[in-house]
Amino acid sequence: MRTNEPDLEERDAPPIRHHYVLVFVVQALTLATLWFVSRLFL
Amino acid sequence: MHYIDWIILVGVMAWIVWDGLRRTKDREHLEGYFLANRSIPWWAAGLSVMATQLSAITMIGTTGQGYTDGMRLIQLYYGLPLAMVILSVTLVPFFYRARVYTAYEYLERRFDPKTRSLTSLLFLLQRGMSCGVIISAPAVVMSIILGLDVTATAFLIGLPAIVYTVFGGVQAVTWTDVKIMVLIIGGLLVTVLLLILGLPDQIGFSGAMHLAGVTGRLKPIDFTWDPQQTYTFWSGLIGGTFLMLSYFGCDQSQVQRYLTADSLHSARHSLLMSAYWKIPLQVLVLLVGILVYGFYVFTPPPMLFNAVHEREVQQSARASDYAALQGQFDTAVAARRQAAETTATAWQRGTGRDGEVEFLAADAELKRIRGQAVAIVKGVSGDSNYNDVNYVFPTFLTTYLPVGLVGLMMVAIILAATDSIAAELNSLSTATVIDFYKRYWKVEATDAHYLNVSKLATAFWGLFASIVAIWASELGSLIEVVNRFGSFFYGSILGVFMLAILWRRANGTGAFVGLIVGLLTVLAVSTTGISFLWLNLVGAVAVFLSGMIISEFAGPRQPPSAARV
Repeated sequence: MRTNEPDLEERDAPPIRHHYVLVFVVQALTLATLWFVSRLFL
Repeated sequence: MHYIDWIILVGVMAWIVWDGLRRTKDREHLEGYFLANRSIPWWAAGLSVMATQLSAITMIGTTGQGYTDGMRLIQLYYGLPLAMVILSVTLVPFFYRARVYTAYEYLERRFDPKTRSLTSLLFLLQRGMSCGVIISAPAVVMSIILGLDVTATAFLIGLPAIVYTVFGGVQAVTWTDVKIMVLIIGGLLVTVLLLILGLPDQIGFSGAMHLAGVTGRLKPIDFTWDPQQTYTFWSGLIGGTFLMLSYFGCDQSQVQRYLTADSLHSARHSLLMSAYWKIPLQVLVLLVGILVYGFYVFTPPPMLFNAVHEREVQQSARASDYAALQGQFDTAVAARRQAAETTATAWQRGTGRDGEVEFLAADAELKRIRGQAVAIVKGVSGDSNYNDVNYVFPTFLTTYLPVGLVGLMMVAIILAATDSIAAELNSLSTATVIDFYKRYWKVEATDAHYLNVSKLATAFWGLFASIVAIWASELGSLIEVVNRFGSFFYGSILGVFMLAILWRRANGTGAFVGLIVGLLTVLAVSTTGISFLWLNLVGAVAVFLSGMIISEFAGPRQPPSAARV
């Protein structure tokens, strides 16, 4: 059983939070590209 | 298929099985067999997550969807990145730190044994049936394409999965997934290239894309607010988020993929790989379908893509009706091609929208004629669920790809089914042994004993899936029943996990009764004709709210320390 304290492994791990932001940035760019392509070839 | 393609197909399948078994280490211990001793690097676990989700139904059905509807289906995945981030922050650390084998094991620590057993049982029922469908749906299509019996094709798809999963465990499953994903992505990219090269020089890629755009096939977003419509921006973003949370967070076939990762950091990264790459991958699959449509605008397509059904109709009492339709079809194909050339050339020269009305009219006429041809097939064959769209991509591959590549693409489609089945058999075996056999039957035994039981359980589920597959191939409507069956459970199971993590005062009685209330609510709401994507949201919310209320009134509250794992 564990508490909510971060463990050693997690404290030593490289930060991941920037990925959470980057995921949404990439998704927004993907949607924008799909929309742009749909307009480009119309 | 050419004999060289058969050699490639059989050779690649044999190599995949052999190499999967060769790479497996420490098969003597339960943690090695089920969790690879938590040693898999993030990129391999991530590819395994993606490979498990990408089945042959994706390769055949999604390309077919691209051919008929274009990009519309992509909206189903708009909630996926959000779901992956939520899971990385919430459930993944809970599972990983608890060092559980199954997601449901965690529910016993948080609630009680009956909640764990019920969720695990629902998983076994739903996955066991769907495993059969994953074999049968492509087996029906590929049997026509390969000229084999349906049972033999089901055998070709299922047997390699059973062999390497029984003997190699999760490591064989994971490393096989990696190779299969490389094969599938490489095959799709080569197909896109060949499709572009197959277009007339004066039309090219831009002309074909313009024609797809004119017919509405490039539309990636539909803001319509209609809960009965399956693919809209809102159903994808809201319903899709709940579906993906359920599938990646509460379905053992996915949870087990990232529990094999070598650290919590790797487990999170393996899920984020899907968050980054799933939508682009689906765009690639749909683009193949769109380009196949563009290709067949300039190369006369068959009226029916299933040659066996076509021959059957030609030898039936409806042969003269079919021949008359074929005449109309040929005329409409020629008219569409001519209008398409005018439309694409005018657009490329920037001289207006000449030919567009004629092109759309001819396209609609072809759709109408194909609809009539399919209706004749349904009447003659008695197969009321026949869907010609599923035969478009495999027929294109076997007709227009060069020898060698046909074999590679056929094996890619078959292995897409094989790797999904392997992951599911592995997870079904894990849930059977850990959640039932080890929990209730034989609590204390050696690893060697559990390992033997696990292998037997894998073989049992393989046999069960094969029987369902053969049964399902004879009763087409069963496939739909199984798919709907799954959507009844997914949201409700997610609701139990939400209750576990988000409501500290929730207890076992609340979770168990809440789960039953959620299942009944979903059953009632499903009769209104609402799209299945929304059922996940309904189930999760119903379980969460009823679980909260019941927990407040029933049973003692758990101390906060016990609410954490």
